Parts: sequence; C-alpha cells; structure tokens
Amino acid sequence: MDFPVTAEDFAVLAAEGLTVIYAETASRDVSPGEGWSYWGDLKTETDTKAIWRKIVTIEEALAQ
Amino acid sequence: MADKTTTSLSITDPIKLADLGDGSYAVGVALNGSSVPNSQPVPIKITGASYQTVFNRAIYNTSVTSSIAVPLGVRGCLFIAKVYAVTGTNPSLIPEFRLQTYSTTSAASTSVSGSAMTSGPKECLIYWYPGASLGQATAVSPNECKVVALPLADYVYCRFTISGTFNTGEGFDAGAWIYWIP
Repeated sequence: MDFPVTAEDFAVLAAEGLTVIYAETASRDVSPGEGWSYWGDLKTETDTKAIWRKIVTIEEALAQ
Repeated sequence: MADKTTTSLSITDPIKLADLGDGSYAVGVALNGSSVPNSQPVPIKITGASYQTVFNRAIYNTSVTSSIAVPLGVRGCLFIAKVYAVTGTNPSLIPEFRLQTYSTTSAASTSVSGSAMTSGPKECLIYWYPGASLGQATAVSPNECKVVALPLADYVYCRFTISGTFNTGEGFDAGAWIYWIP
C-alpha cells in the first residue's frame, strides 16, 4: 500500500475514513507488530530509532 | 424577487473564509429554496472561534511559508502545528522543526514573532492575544506553547522552518491550523 506524502494524498485517505499512525522501535529489525511498514530512521547525535507506519481507520487512530 | 423562504443551516465542516479583497471576508453557503444563489458569498463577521488550515497535513522536508489576512472582528489567534512523526538525520544536530509566526501591517516593515520547535512528535502552539500572559495558555507535556501578548496586525505569517537531511519520502509528517479568537 502506498503511504501518503502530499496534502492531496492525505486528503484522499481521509475521504476514505483512513489515516496514518506511527510507532518507533530500537531498530528496523524489530517490528512493532503485524501490519506495520518501516518508514525510515530518526537519527540523532546519540541515538537511532526506526520509525514505522500503518494505515488505519480514523476511529482506530483516535482509540490509540 | 422570489418569496422569502425560511431555511435552516447545518454547518458540519470547518468554516473556510474567503478574502473578498475589500477588507471583508465571506463564507460560501448553499440555501435551498431561498433567493440567494447557491455558492454566492455571504459577508460575515466572526463572533465565535473558527479555524482555518494553514498547512495541510503532509510530509514536509523543506521550509514553507504562508500569509493570511486577519479577518474582521478578530483580536487574537492560536496557531497549532502538529508533528505526527519524523524521519531523517542531521550530521551534527537532530532534525528540527520550528513553527514561526509573524504579524505585520501592509504599511509597516516591522513585525513581531513567536516560535516553537520540536524534533519529534508533538504539538507546537503559539497563542497571540493582546495582554496575554504565559499562564493563560499552557500545553500538556511534551507539547510546547508560546505566548505573544501583542495585538494582531493586518496579516499573519506562518512558517515551518525545517532543517535536517532527508531521504526520498522522509521528513516531518505535520500540519498547521489557526484558530481565530474574537
């Protein structure tokens, strides 16, 4: 599934009642669970985190 | 002229103001059974809080700026920038996202500003209201709130200042909105 990048992408997703949520783990070798896609790393001077994303319904996102 | 007809309005979406260019603002409405043509702007004066989208939610990895005319009847506003997530790096620093706001008159070159920054998921808020103090607007951690106690001028400018190194598709998933306060 393609993840949204532009404002138009996010608007199309929202029109379908969907949105994107995120999770972070210590590395890309560690998945937060089923259905998550690796997005990229957030690198700081002292730390690197793997950022994951998932498309869910807006209701699911609000319940998080 | 058609007979006057009673109708009711139900506004479920955020009100989007249109600048009519003569110092007034309008909201487009559709009135069933009335003599007002559909989509003809109806001038309004703000009497309750309303909001506008400044930057739609998207992945941002370069700085962007937007200018907005301040509607009539407004004394203050609240800028809200929400960062949902971040990917990227910076050789010496963490990727940085800064919400900067300015207000200025069309005739004056001076401006006043407020800014809030983050390198991770949180909300950056900037509260503008004449005479406001910091205690009147606080944010729940890790969110950040700045207060500007000066009046708004004719225009407000909102800027995402972004620094960092981003691969294709990486950046700050973020959006910004402004709440007008009468």
